[in-house]
Amino acid sequence: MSWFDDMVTQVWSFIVMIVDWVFSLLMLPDWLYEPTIILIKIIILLLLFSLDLIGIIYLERKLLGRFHNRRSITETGKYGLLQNIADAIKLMIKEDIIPKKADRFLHNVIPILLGFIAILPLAFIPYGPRLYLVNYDTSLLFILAIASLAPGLVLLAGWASNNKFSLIGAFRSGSQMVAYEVPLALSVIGVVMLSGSLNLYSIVEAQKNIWFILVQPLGFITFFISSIIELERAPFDVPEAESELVAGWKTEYGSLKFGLIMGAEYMHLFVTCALLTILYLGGWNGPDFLPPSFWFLLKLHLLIVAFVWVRITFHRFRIDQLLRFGWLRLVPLAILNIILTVLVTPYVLPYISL
Amino acid sequence: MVSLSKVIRPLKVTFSYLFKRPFTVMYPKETLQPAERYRGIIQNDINRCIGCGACVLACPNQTLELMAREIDVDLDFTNPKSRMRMRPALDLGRCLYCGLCVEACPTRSLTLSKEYSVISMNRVDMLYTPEELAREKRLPVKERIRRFMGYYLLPKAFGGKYEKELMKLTEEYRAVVSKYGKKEITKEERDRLLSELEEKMFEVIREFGVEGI
Amino acid sequence: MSLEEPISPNDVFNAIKNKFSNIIKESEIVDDKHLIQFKIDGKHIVSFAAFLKDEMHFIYPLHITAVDYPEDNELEMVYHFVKVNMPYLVRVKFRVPRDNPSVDSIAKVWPAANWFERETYDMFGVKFRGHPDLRRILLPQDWVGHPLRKDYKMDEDYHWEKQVKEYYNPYEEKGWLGVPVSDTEMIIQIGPQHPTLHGTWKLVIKVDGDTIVDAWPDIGFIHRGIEKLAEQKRYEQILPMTDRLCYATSMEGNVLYIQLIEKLMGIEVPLRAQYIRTIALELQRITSHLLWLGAYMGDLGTYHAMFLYPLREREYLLDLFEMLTGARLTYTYPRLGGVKADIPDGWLEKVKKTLDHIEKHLPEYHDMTISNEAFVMRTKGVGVLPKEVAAKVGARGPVLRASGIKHDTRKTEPYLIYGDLDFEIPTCKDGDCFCRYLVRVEEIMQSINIVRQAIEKIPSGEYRAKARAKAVEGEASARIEASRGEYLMYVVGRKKIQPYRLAIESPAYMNISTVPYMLRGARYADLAAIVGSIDVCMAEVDR
Repeated sequence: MSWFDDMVTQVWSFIVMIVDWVFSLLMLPDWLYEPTIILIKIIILLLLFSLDLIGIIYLERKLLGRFHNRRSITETGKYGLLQNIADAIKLMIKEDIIPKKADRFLHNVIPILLGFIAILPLAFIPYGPRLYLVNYDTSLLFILAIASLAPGLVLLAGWASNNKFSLIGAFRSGSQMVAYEVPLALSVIGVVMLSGSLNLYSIVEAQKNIWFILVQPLGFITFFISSIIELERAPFDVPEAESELVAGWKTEYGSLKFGLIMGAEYMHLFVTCALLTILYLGGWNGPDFLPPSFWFLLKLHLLIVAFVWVRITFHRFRIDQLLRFGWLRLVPLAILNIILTVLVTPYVLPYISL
Repeated sequence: MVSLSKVIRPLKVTFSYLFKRPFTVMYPKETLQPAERYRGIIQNDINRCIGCGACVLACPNQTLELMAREIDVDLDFTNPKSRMRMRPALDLGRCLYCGLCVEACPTRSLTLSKEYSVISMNRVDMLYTPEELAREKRLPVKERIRRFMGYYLLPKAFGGKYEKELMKLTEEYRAVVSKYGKKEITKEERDRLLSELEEKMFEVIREFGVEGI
Repeated sequence: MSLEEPISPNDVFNAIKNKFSNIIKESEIVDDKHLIQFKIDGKHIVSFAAFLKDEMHFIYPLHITAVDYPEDNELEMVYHFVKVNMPYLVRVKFRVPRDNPSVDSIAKVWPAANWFERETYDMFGVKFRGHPDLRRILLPQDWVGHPLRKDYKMDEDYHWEKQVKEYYNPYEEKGWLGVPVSDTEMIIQIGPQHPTLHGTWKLVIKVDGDTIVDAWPDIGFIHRGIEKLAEQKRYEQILPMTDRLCYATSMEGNVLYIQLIEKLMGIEVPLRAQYIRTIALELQRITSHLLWLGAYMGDLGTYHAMFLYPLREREYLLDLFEMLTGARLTYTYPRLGGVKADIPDGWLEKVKKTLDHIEKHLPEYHDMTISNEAFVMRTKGVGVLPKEVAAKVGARGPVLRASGIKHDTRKTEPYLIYGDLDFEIPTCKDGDCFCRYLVRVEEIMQSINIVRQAIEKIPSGEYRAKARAKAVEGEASARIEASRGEYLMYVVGRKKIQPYRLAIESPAYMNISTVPYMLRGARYADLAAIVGSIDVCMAEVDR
């Protein structure tokens, strides 16, 4: 695993060397140095993330096939690896249709904003012992705050379509998302109490000896279920697969906008699974024979498998059952979790390295 | 409260499918063998067939029609007495694959093969002359249309206003053939009239959209 | 006397004859054809029907239709009535003049008669006095003429391409059938092409917030005119048409038609052929229920795993059918006097193995559905059809049995060899979607049981008696228990090789007409669950 550290350090020093050489060659001012470094970090992160995104979509489709006892994508490319790229190209070359009386500005801008709020938390997540973009002290709170922008954008998206049924779908979706912000935030309090900080990096450091899932399983379950609902995945995909009301708030968005919205959904999935591993499954902590980043990514993808598994198994809930479930079952569960954590903390604290 | 077993049990069932072999048959790379009795495309053994016409009567959909063979070029096929020298032709686009014609055949010359792949890009490819039905050969499109002129299967293959026009031309064609059969006109006269009618029919079919003629 | 109390046909015959001796012109009871027939004076049909319903507890009219006799210048109205646990059908006939025929409607007595009378109006032009909503049902509203009359000529220039916005205009206040719509309500058309509806039919609903206030189903989009076509084809040639009546259960259409013609011509079927037909019918029932199961699970949640598991089992059964008949979907297997070909070697062992395999997988299905919290929450208490309403309104088959009425033609009037076999009829008390699911899954188990018994008892012998279709004069009605309910056909023959009139009455027809009763007061979000639980196959509804 130290070979991985060495490799990363070497590559990074090579890049810094090139940047230095360019700066000295072109005589660029000094205040431009820091932003350039950060920009290069962002570009590398986005490139690696896009690869992983295609991998996630491929994984989901293949897994769906497995659970259904059938073969999934196999034709384009060997084992169907190029299928997603083909789908992306198809989405891009389609015609972009905006309804007649729809709000043009909003219609064009909302998919971009949705993608933006899905991708922004990537900056705060630590991928390894020294691999992160920024290290704020309140990164967890910031991520939760960004996630709560989603219901507003969804409502705007439904409004901007000039379609009765999209509006109804947007109302349902917005109310669903808002309702589940509360258990999401409440279930995280237990982790914060145990590790003593809102910094994602320190939370992972605190799990060197014991993973938090063993200390608060209730919190894990509450966070898991709330995040399925935030993502609008089955079994809670009432706005998405509303077969009685066309297709919900995403109806009027075609071609690349739909591609962006779908991509945003998968990015949000990635971010949620990353949060889950960091908060409960110990982040990058793992045995020494593999580099820590590999453990992080492995746990993340196993969680994605779990999400697909849950999607396959349960039927769709009705909207009122869903809301009742959130307010009457998950919120008390989250509060119970907090109470239990308070009671259990003194016994567990010695084991947590702070 | 949600009972836990009601959540765990379905998850266990779905999980077990991760380790089972998929049930798919990757057609067209792998194909399934149809059963012994599979009712596929019709085949006729032209040497056993006696041209009785029982199959034509039995068909629920008017798919079959007796047609003069290639060797009987000058046959007057409008004369009911020449039926015994004609053999069945069929329109696969109208066939139901029900098998009633096979049961009606007294010499067991009609059979249903096991092919099931019927693909064509135009309607005329689905018309089979008696020799094609015996799997002897496959004619090019123009030849095949020429062979079918004067028989009712050709207009019925098209439908709509094309059917009406082609039906009129078919009736005229048949009238000319019958006149030749009763020796009212000479062979050259017949050939001239028939080629005029053929041109008109080709015109209509080209207007319909069949290419290559 | 209650709804389900068994009563002997002679008692019924005598009771009706005594009560209505003044209006009955002819009456007869035919024991070998299981028929009680009355010819009455047409003016008193409503009181006749009211007596049958209130005093004798008949369930619903099984079929109402007419036959055209242009040479007498009359139309003959034919009504069939059925009672639970009485093996004979009651047929009532009377004649009305052919020009401007007019009959009292019995829709007040039984709401189930509503759609039958609309169809008779559509096809024959008979006007029913007192009918709440007499308009065409299978043909478009601006069609001219009544097709099943003998002197009907079709208008070649009907404007097929122009989409007739018949009477639904969402931008108008009274946009549908003149129904008033208040400010909080909205009329939604769930159009002919919709994945939830499982077929091509229209459902117009009036919604107040999230509650459905009223619903109007609209059918007739794939009407192919099979009844009119049947009058021009010979008896043997109609057989392939009957398997396209409901393509998912085509063996049932075939067997019913062949039984009807055998009844008409008095042909005996050897015992081995009856066993083979029974085995094929029960396997068809399992196939149909498995297909329904897969489609229903797909309705309730897309990408659900249970969408594909029952379809996998169905593939094994379709392979069996392919070995037996030669086709996977449209069989055309029975023939007059028996079946087309004998069972191939080794087929019975394969059937036994397949049934064992299916039985092993059924607990897995139970785990995924009954023990699945999401499924139970979606279907329990949803779409309730109470017992009293179910009988009046005309629900059939599993929908009727899930409401608590134990009515199954296999026990009421045993045909083929059901009289010798030992099986049960599952019923359920509640009448909601969960109950319909339970009834159908239990029926799969019972069918497996029946096939096993039949395989053990099957005798050797001929598989087909020598019989040909004759030109007979007479009429016959036959019914079987299809997988969707009770299926009736009625034929009139008049000394020709083609039937004079073939009337087909399919169970899904009546089941769709019960949709408004289930939807009133339900939540809009439950529409998919309710409509899916009825098991619709549009081809047999529209014929």
